[in-house]
Amino acid sequence: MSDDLAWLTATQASRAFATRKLSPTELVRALLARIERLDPKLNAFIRLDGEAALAAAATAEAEIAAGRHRGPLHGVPVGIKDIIDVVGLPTTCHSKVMPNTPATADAVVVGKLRQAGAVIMGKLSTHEFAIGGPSFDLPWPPARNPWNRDHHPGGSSSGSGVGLGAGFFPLALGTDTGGSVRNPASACGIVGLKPTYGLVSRRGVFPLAFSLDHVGPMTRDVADNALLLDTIAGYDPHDPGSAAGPRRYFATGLERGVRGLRIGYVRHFHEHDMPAHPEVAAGLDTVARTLAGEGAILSTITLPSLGEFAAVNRVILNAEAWTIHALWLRERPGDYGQLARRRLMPGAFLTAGDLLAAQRRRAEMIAAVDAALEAVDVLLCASSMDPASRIEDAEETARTYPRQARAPFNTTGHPALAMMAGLSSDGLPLSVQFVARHFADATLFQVARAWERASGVDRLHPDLS
Amino acid sequence: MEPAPPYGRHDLVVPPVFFAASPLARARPRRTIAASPHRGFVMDKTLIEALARQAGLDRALAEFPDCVMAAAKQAIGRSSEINTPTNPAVEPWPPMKVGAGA
Repeated sequence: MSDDLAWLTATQASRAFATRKLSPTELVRALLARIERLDPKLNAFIRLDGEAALAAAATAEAEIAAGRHRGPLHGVPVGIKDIIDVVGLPTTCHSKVMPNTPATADAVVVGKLRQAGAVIMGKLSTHEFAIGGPSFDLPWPPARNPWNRDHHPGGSSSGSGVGLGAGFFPLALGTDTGGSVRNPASACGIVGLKPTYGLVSRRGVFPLAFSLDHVGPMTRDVADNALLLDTIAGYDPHDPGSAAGPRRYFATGLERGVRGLRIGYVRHFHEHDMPAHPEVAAGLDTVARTLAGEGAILSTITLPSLGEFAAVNRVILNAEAWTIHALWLRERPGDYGQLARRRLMPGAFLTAGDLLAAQRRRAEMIAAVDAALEAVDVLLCASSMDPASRIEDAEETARTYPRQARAPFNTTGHPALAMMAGLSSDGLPLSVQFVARHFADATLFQVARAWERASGVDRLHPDLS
Repeated sequence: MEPAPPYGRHDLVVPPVFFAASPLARARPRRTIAASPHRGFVMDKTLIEALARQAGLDRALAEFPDCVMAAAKQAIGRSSEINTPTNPAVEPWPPMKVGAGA
C-alpha cells in the first residue's frame, strides 16, 4: 500500500470518501494488510477484528453511495483500548484475571462511534488493568514504540499510541487515570487529550480509579482529535461522574490562532521539581517561543509541586483501585503480572485518614489550578521529562515512568492535551502539554493547532519500511 | 533552598521584547498546610505482615512476599508526601451532593 493511505487523517479520509476518490473498504483493506505486515513486531493489537471491520466498511460504503452520509467519521477506522467494551469481543484488560467472555454491550463511547459510522478495527494493547506495564509476564506481549521498537511506547494506552504512530488507523480511544492517554501520545508523537472530567462517559469501561478515570481521544493531528471528541462527548445520566451541560462543539475555531491568548508556562515542573532531560526542556522552550512568535502573551505560572501532585494522585488511585481489585488480589494474586500486583496492592495499607487527607489537599490543588487559569487562558508544561526508555531496561523504565507532569490534571479534572514537540537527537518524540479551564477543551485545540501549524509536527512519521 | 513563589503568575518567561504585555505579579493567599503525620514513619516487616493479613492478603503474603512489602512501602511513602491542610474548613473533594430538592 502507499504510505499516503497509512498516514491519511480522518478528515482527509472522509473527504476522499465523499468525492469517491477512496472507499471505506479500500482503506480498511489497505490498513489490514499493513497491520498484518507490521504488527507482529509492534504488538499494538490484542485482537484484530478484520472481518467485522470489513463488514462495517462495506455498510458505510453503501450508505455513503446512497447519499446517507452520517458525518466526518463515517467509514473511518478506529482502534479501541482493551479495557473498553466492544459487543461480541472479550474485554481482556491485557490480563489473565479477566474472563474470556464477550462483552454483551458496547461502552457508551463505542456506541457513539458506531452511530457516527466509524469502523471498529479491534482491541488494543494496554498495561494490565491500565496500570501494570510494560510487562513481559502477561498473556500478550507489550506494545513497542513505532519510532524505535526497542523503546517503550508509553502507557497505559500503549496500543492506541503505537497503532496511530505506525499508521494502522487514524483514530483511537484511550483512557487516562494518571496520564495514560498523554503518555503514549508523548512517546509515539501523536495527539492525546484527557478531556475535562465528566465530559465523556466512562460507562462500559473497566475502572481503575473512579474519580480519576477519563476516556480520551487519540489521533495523529489536532483536527481529528477535536472531531473524535465531538463524537464521544456528552452527558450520560448513568455515569455518576458525568457532567450535565450544554452540547459542546470542539472542531470549530481550530484555526483562530493564539494572538492575544495568555499562556502560562509552568517551568518549575521540569526545571525544579523533576529536572527534565535537556532535549525535553529545549523542546518546551521552542514551543513557548513559537507560540509567543504567533502572538500569544507568555508568563510564568507556579502551581503546587509535582511531587505532591503525584502523591495525592497515587493515594487516591491506590485507594480506589484497591476497592476494585481486593477480592481478586486476595484469591488469585498469581494471576496478575508482577507490576500490576505491586501497583494495585498499596491501597490495602492506606487508612481512611490517608485518603481524606489526599482528598482535602486535592480540593486545594483544584483551587490552585483554577486560580492560575484566572490569570491566563492556557497552561503550557512538560508531559514526559524524558524521551521513551528502552522497553527491556526495567530499571530505566521504572526510573523514568513517574517523571511526568500529567497526573496533576487527573487530580484536578482540568482538560490536558499532549502532543509532539519535536524529535530528540536519537529520533524519539519529545512532547509538550497544554492545560485549560474546566470545559474549555476547545481552547486547547486552538493552541495545539497553532503549534502544529507552525511546527509541522503532524507531518513527522516513523520510517517503518 | 529558596522559598517557593506563591501560586499563580509571577513573572515573564523571556524579555518583554518578545511579548505584547508585561503582566504584574499576582499575589495569592498561601495554602495552609502541615506535614503528614506519616513523615519519617517506617513500617517494619512484622507490622506490614499484620496489616496484609488484616486486609486478607494471606495468599499474596505467602506467594509474593516481595510484592506485598513493596506495595506497603509505596503506600506509606506516598501518604507521607502529602501536606495535610491545617485549616479545618478545607473539605475533601468531591463535595457532598444531595440533588436539587423537590
